[in-house]
Amino acid sequence: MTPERVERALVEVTREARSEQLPYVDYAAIEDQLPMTRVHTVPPRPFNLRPWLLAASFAAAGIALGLALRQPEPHAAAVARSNAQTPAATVAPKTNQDINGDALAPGAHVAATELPQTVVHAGHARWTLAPHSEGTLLANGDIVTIRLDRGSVTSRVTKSSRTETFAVEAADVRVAAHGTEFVVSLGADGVSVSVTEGSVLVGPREEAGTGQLLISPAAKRYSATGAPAQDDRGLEALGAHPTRGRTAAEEPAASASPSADSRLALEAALKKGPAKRTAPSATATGTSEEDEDPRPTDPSADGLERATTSVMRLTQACFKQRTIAGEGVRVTAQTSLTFRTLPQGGVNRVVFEPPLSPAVQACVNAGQSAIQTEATRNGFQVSRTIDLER
Amino acid sequence: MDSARERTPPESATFGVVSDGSDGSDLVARCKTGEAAAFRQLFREHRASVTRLVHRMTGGSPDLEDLVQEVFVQVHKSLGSFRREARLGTWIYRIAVNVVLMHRRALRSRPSTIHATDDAIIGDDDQPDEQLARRRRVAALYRLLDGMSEKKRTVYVLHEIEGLSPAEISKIVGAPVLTVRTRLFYARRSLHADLMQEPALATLAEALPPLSEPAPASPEPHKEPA
Repeated sequence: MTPERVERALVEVTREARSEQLPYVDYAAIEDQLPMTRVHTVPPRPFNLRPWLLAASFAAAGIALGLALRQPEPHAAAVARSNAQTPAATVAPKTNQDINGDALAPGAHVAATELPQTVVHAGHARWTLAPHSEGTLLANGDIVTIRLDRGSVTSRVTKSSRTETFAVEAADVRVAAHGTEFVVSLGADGVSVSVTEGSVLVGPREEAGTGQLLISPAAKRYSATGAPAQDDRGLEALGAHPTRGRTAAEEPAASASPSADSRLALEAALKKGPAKRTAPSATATGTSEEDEDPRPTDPSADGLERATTSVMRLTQACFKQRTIAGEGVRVTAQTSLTFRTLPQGGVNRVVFEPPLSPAVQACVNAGQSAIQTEATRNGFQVSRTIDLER
Repeated sequence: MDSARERTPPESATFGVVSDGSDGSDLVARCKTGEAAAFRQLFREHRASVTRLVHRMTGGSPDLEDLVQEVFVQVHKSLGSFRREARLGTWIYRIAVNVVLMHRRALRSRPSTIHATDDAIIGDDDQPDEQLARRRRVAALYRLLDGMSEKKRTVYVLHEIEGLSPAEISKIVGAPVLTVRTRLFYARRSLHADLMQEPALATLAEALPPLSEPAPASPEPHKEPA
């Protein structure tokens, strides 16, 4: 092949790439998610105004703190009542005024009084300290990092293409997130993490990027060093606190008890989770065997579609690679694929009816281990007709 | 939210639009005052060019919408630092390039399912053959670009596909113009070397008519052997 032909082919295909039609993009959905409509608008500021805004935000926080301290005693009872029904950090009768997290400098300490305290990083994340909880902003930028000094924090992180945009450190545990909602609670016996949406990576603080992936809805308890607690057995383990056996209503008023918060958050997560659950048979003093398993019975619609798409893509890629045909010959096939997933996630076996060639089947068998699926109690089965072409 | 939830048709793939016709300073100033309508206008003016760039930089990523959203979130966060040293469009392009590069780096370290590069093509079984073949060739080009270093791929996409000048690219990637030209040279050389490894592109090269076709008229007069 002459270089001149190669050059012309390159020019031609580049021209084709230029004139390629773009895929459909739902701009309205993107616009909905942009900070201008999601969060109250925070005017971008020139750099030299930062100290003034910082001082102003501290003053506002101080005023809010002062006002909160002046609240009469019944407020505490009101929070306690809300504790009895819903997670304290996510639902409260009242909250302090939100703090603009973008205006906080690293090292800023935030404390919640009898009321939850929310910090907002526009278009990025919002974190809410449960009553009597305290946290410190460690980093403010592409990755917002906070340290939970006491109590419990609920974080909601805007979906992002980056792997990590927000992290919570508690004791020596680091919880890193990517578009998710989760609760971290710090107690004397370790750190509890419950994920209500998305997934988080939990690991040692000193080794960012490593650890265990928790996928919603899930909850787990970790030692102060980041290792999963030995006695952790899901919901029951989260309830295995000195207060175990009490109903939520019996919890001390305005408590920042990590176990109570986590248990309530997990219960909320399980109710809120995308998958159906059987009716809980747990009583206030104990839990059934079934409730110990935080995995949903059925996959979510999104999880089901993702798994199916992954298997279909794998099959298509294998068919293309392993089907032998002469140049210019088009080979097509239609088959029905059926696969079953493992309870812990992953694909068990993909079967084709009518069967594909042994080479294609072997390729699919080899590639299926790379496919991640949603963890469910018993796994799930999917059948789909697929058209293949080489 | 207004009634913009209609299915927006794909906006036409124009060539090399970085400039928005103005330096965008008025729009930026309004955005800086926190005017939501101004940022909405900025989004609508630049969304097509950003989408096109992201699509071309990623070679057709399924995360296209997430990436476009991320670009504008970053734009919103960084508007305060926009200094009018570059045109607004160029500045947004710079953010878009950085978002894509971050995404690609993240992908490398993230466990993922197998990504079939031709998946979008195989599904469309009602396409005319020529259109299908063209999409295959473009997919093959993106595969070749995918094998290149980030720096070379970025300048190639920005120059050859987006149609930006080396001077504009130098502002986007933060490198001298000479460096941009050098990267472009090596990117082309790499593509020349690897092009024949892609069957779709090899077929194209073989099918191209020769440049200097012999004139079909006036056949050679028959010469008797001596």
